[in-house]
Amino acid sequence: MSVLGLTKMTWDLEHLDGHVDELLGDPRTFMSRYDVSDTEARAVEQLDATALLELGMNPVALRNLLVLLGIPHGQMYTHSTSLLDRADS
Amino acid sequence: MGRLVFAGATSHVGAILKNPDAHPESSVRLHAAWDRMAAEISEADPDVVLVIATDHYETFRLEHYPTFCLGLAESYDAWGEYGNPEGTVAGAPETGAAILADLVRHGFDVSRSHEMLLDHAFMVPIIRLGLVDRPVLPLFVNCNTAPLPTLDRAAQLGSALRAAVESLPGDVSVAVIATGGVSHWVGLPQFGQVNDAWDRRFLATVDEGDLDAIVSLSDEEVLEEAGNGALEIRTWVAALACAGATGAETYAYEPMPDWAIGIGIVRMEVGA
Repeated sequence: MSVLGLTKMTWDLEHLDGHVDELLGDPRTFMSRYDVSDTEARAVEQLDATALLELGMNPVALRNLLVLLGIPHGQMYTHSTSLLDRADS
Repeated sequence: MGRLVFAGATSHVGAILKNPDAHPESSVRLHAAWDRMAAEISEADPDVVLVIATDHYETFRLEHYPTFCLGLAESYDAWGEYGNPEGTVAGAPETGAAILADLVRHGFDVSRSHEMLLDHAFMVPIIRLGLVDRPVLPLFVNCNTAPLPTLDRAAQLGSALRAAVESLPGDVSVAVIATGGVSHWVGLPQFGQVNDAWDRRFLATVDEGDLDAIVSLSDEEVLEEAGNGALEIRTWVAALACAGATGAETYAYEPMPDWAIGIGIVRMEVGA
């Protein structure tokens, strides 16, 4: 798995202007810039912390990713939101 | 020769500054302890404050991930991540270079950074303890990305730091502050839990200066009992060893559910 790709993407989302909006607008196109597998991309689309953790993402970086995408730290494993819901809205 | 004039440790969660009055009956005791520590550091008047802390995937990422890294910058900008403190603090590059050289000369091959932005692990204690106007020497310790340095290695680092401080030329006075812990879970399903009993046992061991007991803890035990955030106790171990591990006093401990952490604030004796 490409933990590095997910971690680099997370840092870019946090620090580079416009990246969060780009991801929310078209997740797959945005994630194609990074070395992220299809399984990982699906987990990101679903904001699936359990899957990302099982795939090996560091929980600190994982926290950063989900909080950046609007999921409170305390709801990482209980929310029912996905990026696809947001892209459709 | 240089002198170690103060040693202590504190938790560093951003909520300390962002939501300071949570659980008022508890937070008032914590703030009193931080105020006490700040006053004592001010009285000790160190030329340099060595801050031993970790990073949360802001400065150090998988592209380059050191185990230990000492800052040698003229100044340090803060990330200001997620509403945490922004700003700039002065560095102590000459002192840092001398300490780095001494560490390496004695077999402790610590990395160095001439541009090392600081996240809340450094900035929250720097601000809460009134250190923004003092030169700081940040020392990063990997506390969250396996393989971690062992607790024993952290203790060795602390001892080596003490020797390096005492080898400094002139009459440089140094304070050491460790940041992190105590029990908390970051990015894990147990987020929000606090293990009050584990924290109090750990702090009692720190107060006894029982470094052997602390370094005998396994990471698996710490992770299970106190969460991945408690792996940050390796910074405390380094500071305790640096201080000489002759004892400490817990100024305050409070489980803080609204901050999702157990907060510990400890003054360490500076022994021989």
